[in-house]
Amino acid sequence: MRIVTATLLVARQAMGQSARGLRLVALSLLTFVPLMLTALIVSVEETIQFSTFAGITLFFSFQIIVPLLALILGVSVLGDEIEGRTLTYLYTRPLPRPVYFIGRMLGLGCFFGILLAISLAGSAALFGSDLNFDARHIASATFIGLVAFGVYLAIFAAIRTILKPALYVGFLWIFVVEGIVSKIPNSGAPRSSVWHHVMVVFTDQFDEFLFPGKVRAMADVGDPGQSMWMLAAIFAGAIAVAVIRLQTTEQRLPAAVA
Amino acid sequence: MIATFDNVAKWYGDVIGLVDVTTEIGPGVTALLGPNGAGKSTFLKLLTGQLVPSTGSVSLFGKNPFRSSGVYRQVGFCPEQDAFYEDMTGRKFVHYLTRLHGYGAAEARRRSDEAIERVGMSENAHRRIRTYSKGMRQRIKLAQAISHDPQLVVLDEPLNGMDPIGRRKVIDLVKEMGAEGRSVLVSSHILHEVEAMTRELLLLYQGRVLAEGTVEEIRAYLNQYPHKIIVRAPRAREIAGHLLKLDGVSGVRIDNETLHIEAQNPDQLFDALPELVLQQGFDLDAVEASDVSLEAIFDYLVK
Amino acid sequence: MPVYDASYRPWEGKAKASRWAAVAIATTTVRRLWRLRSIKWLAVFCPLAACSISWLVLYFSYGEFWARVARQVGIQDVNVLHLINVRLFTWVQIPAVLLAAIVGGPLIAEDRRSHSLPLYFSRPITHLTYTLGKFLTIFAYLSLPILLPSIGMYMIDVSLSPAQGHWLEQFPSLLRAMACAGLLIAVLASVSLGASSLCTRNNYAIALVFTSMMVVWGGSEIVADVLDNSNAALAAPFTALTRISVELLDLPELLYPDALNRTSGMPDIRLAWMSVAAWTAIPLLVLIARVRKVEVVS
Repeated sequence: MRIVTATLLVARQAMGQSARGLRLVALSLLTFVPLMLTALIVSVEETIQFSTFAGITLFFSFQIIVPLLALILGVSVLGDEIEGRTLTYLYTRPLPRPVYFIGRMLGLGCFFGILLAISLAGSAALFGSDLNFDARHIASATFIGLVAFGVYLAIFAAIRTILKPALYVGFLWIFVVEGIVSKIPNSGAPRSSVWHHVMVVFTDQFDEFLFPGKVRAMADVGDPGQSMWMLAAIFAGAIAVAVIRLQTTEQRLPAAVA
Repeated sequence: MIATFDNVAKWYGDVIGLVDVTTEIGPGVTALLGPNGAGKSTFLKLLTGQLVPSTGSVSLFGKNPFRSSGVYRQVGFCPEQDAFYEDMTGRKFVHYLTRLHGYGAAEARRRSDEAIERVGMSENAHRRIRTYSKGMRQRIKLAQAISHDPQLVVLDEPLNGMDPIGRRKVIDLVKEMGAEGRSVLVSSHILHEVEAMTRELLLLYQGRVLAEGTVEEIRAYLNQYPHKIIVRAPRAREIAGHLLKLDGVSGVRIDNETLHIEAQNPDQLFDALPELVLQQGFDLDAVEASDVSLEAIFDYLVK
Repeated sequence: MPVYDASYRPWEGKAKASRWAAVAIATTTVRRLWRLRSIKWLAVFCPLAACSISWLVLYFSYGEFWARVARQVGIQDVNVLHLINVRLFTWVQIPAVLLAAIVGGPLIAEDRRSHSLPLYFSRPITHLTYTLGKFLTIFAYLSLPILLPSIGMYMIDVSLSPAQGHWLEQFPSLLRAMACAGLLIAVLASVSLGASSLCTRNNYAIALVFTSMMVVWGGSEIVADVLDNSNAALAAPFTALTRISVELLDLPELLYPDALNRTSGMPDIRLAWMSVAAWTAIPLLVLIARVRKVEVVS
């Protein structure tokens, strides 16, 4: 129970840290880009196409915003404490080190989930009654976004426990693996993409409220059960790597500033 | 023993942090002394499990501090770096870190308030840390180190940036904690501050343990350096003549009414002086051992 | 009675900021960044090597291929150098953003985090001198993958041509290509320094640069497609720069990059210039405002 309480405490502190000042403004702006695009389009177009909304949520939110935010927040799971040199305080408490890692991941995940839900709800509200997109669909879309975010977050946070320039590696991952390699047709390459597996697992949900028929065609290369296990394995593997690194390797803080 | 270092070495690439360190930390206040770059921070980080020794082993309360997070229930660490969650108030900061020790909210609040009171920060604890002066920040750091009543308190340069009144308070607090039966390990490179806190020393220099023990014990080992004793008396020349006859006295310098005596065996001198006073009727204004001080000892050891 | 040194004479010369202070700031920063292995390899050697190989391939195969295609559809006098330079500026944009983020992101953020700004401004250095010094630093690094290849292409083209005065003939092309390169560098430098001035952590500055460019690009493409208005795509500096480069390099419309080929028509060149001006000026203003503010607060 003590470990659970401590994890929740750390999560709450991470959420509080993110929800302040310029950082909150920057992260909110990023998450609300689809909402702003929606507002712009709604102000110009008289009738809204369902495919427009789908393009903004499916493509923009999930394929651009989610991985980018997961990278920024994933690197900061441990990176913030190391760069801020506050890791010393945490490491001299009677708690296993992974508690801080998982607690911060949880806090940042919740923080992003709230922002994503607001963004999706706002977009849905702006499109109004033109679309059949109610609270159930918003919750479903938020859940899907969180699943993708969680897996990406774990990957990038784990990379940060190994490499200091994790941000560069993360950008390369997003750009090369998710952006280019996974789009190579007629190959097994899409299976290297987290987003591909998310689409395969949630094909029915996507079809129901986003791209009727089209997602099913894109996701044809996969078996939902297999993809689900793949996502779980990636997530668990990333967490395991991070836990092992934290337990076996010292985390050296950068040199003192004034 | 609270902590043990057994043949510990630590290097960072080509740079040696510590080498061949074998020592024990016991109860009471111990000062970890050394110039900048001596390895004091490395020593403390190894002790508190933030670093892993390259060779050798470190044991804290009988356990490896890197592997056993449980030992931190009994350890309070005040780091040197000026790093905080700047947006938190001082009270929230101490409260949060106290809660991570496993205390409930109410108990953690009580303990953190007590610790804040003890370091003299009650009036400013409600303000955000980013608005604090350097001295206030140091005291809040100290508060988070003692809020859970640890058996061992490790303070890395606790007096950095503090004004004289603040320093006095911290020195008194350290002595108080030592008197309560806790072990306190204080690192510093400022000798007179350390002298005010304790006589137990662990001297580091260029990554090695130079000496350990009380000031007097260490001084006693330094036989190659004659002890310097100052005697002030009106008939200094006559006294000098008598003292030069003693075997243990290697030299005397007369400066008006002050004698600067160098003695290999100071005990013999201290025995002889009262006899001289009684037999010859000399008046003595002052007798002092001028190099049983940290500065002198450090100078000798580092030479 | 006060004690003072009667021989002391205060300096009575004119106090003015040395112009060369900016160069000193730039050379020191360039050297300091060069010592970082990640900058050397991730940001300079690898992209430079990759780009050098691909640009050589570009010249010897791509240029000729498109020149043949152009002739087949009746476009004579295709300037292969122009063709290649436009493609070059289009393809180099993503790696250039990464480089600008990695090099430029920490430039001001590091100074703010380490409280070095008072060290600068307690010397006779103006804010503009400081900003110029940082600009020159990014310019030095960004010119490697952006400016050098244009010069390299020009030299390859000139050396392979049998015509005597070909170098002079192509010289205006080189100048135009360098102008396009300069615009790209100016935008990237401005954005990265502006973002850097908003942050105190290097990682956040890097993330802000890269993310803002990518998000604006993606968003403007979506809006342009949805609204069927090609001018909307000019909100992204990359599209605006591509539009300007095809104009400056006088490329036939048939050979325009795909980014400009829309059913809604060609984006307006004046809007493209306005977009580039805004992307250069606004981050600069943010930078100057932040640097001035920090000085007062410190």
